[in-house]
Amino acid sequence: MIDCEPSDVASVSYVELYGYHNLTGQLPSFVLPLFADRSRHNALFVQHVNRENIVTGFGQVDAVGCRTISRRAGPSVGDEFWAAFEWDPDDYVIARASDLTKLLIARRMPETTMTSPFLHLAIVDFCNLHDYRGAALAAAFKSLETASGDYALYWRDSIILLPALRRALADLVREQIPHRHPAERKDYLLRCIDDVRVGRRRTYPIFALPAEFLSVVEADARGWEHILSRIRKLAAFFGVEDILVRVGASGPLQDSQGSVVEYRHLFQKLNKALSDRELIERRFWLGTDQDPEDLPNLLDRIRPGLVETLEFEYIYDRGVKEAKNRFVRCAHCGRRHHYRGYVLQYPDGRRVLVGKDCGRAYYGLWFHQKEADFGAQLSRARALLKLQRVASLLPAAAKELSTVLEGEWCDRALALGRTLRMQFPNLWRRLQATSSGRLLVSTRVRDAEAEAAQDARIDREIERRARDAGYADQDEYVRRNRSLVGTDESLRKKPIYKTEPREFGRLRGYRYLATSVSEPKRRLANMLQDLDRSGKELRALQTDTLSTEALRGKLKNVQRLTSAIERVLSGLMECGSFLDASNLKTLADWANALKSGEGIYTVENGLLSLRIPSGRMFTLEATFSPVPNISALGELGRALET
Amino acid sequence: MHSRFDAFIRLRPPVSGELPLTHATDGFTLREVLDTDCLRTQECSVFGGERLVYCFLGRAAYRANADEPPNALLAYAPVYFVLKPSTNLLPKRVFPFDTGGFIKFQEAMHHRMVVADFSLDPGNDSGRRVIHVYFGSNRRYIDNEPNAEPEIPALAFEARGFHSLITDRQRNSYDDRVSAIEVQFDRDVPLPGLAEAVVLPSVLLDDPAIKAKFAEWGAQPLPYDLVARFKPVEYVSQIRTLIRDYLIGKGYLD
Repeated sequence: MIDCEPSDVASVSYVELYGYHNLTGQLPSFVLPLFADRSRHNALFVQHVNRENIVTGFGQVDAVGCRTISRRAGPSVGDEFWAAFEWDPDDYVIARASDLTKLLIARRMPETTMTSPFLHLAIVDFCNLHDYRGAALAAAFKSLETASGDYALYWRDSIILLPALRRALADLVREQIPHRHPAERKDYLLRCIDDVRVGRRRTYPIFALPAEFLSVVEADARGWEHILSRIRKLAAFFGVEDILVRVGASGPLQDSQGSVVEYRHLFQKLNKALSDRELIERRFWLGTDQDPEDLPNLLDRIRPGLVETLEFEYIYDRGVKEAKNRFVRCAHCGRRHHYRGYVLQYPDGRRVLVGKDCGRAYYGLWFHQKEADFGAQLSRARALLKLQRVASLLPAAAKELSTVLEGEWCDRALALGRTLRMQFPNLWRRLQATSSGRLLVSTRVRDAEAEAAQDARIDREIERRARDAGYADQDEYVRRNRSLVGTDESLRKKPIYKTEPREFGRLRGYRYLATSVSEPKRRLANMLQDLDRSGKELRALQTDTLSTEALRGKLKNVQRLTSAIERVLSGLMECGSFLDASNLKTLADWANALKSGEGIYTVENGLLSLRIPSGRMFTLEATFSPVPNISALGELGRALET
Repeated sequence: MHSRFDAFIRLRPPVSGELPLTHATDGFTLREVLDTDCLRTQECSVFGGERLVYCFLGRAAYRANADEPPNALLAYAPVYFVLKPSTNLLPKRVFPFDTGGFIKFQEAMHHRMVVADFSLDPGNDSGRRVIHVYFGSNRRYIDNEPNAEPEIPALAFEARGFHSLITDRQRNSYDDRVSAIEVQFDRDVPLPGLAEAVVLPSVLLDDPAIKAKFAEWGAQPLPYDLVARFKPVEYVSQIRTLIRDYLIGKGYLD
């Protein structure tokens, strides 16, 4: 055990290396270099080092159990500090920090310590290896996660991100204050940095800054943005999509008279951020039938200077017909000219109504952040409600799909498709070539455009010949050379024809043809499995650990799946429309109109037939059982779309 | 027999809310703690060689000032255990300050006052009563911001002496141990279910056995960067803030 009582020490400006002490007993490890003052051999010293890594002095320590390695060299005040690293008792280095850095890199310590993530991180930080830092942080996070996800999240938020934000904020204050405020203000703000807090909403961190920083943040928006982007970048190493920062009432607030007023700490609210269950039950909107001005505990005007203590309670919109398009009085401007706005509440329960435009225009960053937060809550609540409803509808939808697959209907629909392909291969091929069920036949028609071009060319030729023969008028030339012109084929104006597709009719149930050849039953069976899996996943989902984006992602997956099922099923269900007698009649007429010479198509008593020239008949019995009920799948689809 | 200080304190109400206890040790001792799952009593020179476990109410009590580094190597690799406030163990003794530093504190008191004059009833929420009288709230106690003018009877010399001691901003020879409420146990303190956090050098978390043990105890690791601690300027922003943030985050200072 190493311990002692404080003692007064005369200032020392130069010391020599005495040994080192391994403080944790781990190997390899950074160790603490110890120094001795030559004039007082019993006194051991450690270095005092400033932020620039320069030795500012030495502090006396008492120690037992340290490794002695006396050397006539050591740091002086003003030198770079010395650091030490021990691989094993016979292999250690004590040197200037920059020399030790080079050595650690030369010995590939950053690469060889990957299996000890925290030592690796310490080495990366010591050597200032910025490129390695992200991976090192992520590895340390993962390593902690093996013990507990909560441990890892606490470490990420409270031990890595929060100090980083505090340091950056302190730098911003130091940079800004000399120009704007007296020194006491700076000291006060630096003290307030201790009140910067981090909480967590699901898996992403949420930072709360005391209201004192509103002025700092607003005075240097670019500097503040820079800080946020640095913290976001750091958070991204842990896979955090985004961070939320709120500047608001927190810790002691100073009122206009300078006396300290204790307000409910914002962080308490953040810690008590609504759980998903509470969010689902929370009411966000005031109904169109409820006039905000009828709410109890309503104040006419905002309390001066205490805006940041307000919390968003409800949102209202009276600019709709149901709300009778009535303006609502605003507690900021005192006028009644806002349709939309918020009900805000003070910690003592009193309420004020603030128009959306007034809030955004006059309450700055605080309002924007609160509004964004309220909006985020609202949007998460919607996602949660949707998730809850979808999870409750999934079992019935899966059961319905299973019934469809097990029933005869599906097999019958596929069998009819197969018969159509086998009995009428030419017809099938032509149908495949049509576009979206448009049945076209080719018709021979005069090509007016080509004929006009031909006529113009002949007229030009006659004009040329008349001119060459010395005629002033080409009609005169034609009259006098009638026999020549009449027998010249190149001057004969002939009708020109072209083939034009003509829409013969429209085939209903066309999608059935495409669906029936795309292995629909196998695909539906696979989708049923996915649907079952999704149902189980959603029902077991711990939403509190997921971001809103991730929740939406889960819903999107189910939506994609449901849409795919709907596409296949509705394609197969078009079988009924396809086999309708009038549809088949159109099909037969069209096939005959094509005059392919393969035979005559007829439809009689629900039977599509083709009699080929040899007299042989091919038939398709066009009967089909009623389509199954898929109302549960339909309801699921609608729930996902809303 | 109650001390005179306790006679004054026991009539005051306790502050609302409880604080956890902290126990300081070092990286080496941690290994023994991991093996035994408890904080073992150790011989104490101040109390005649009794075997005791020392804890403090809420504070990382040995905290050094930013410009005054701890002068023992122990302080360079400290490990702190944060213990849940509700423990079935009855303390042996409770004092309003770190008894180890009493010799220094005597400078601010009457020369005939002794440690025993400040002993408090160990089974009477005495620590919370001291906080109520001298600090008003747990947050102010943790931040060492004493009340300026508590009501103290004229003849309650110990109570007045203690107030002078904790409000003395001129003297630098003692740190905030002067107002760190000390809680002594005369038996080993078991850690499973009782330890709620452990402050330790981050490199120790590379040991899977340590992480597994913390998970078994239900104790949140609060790692700090040992290399940065080689630079005393980083001290305050490391351990003090770690524990303060932890207490706030857990709602102890609401």
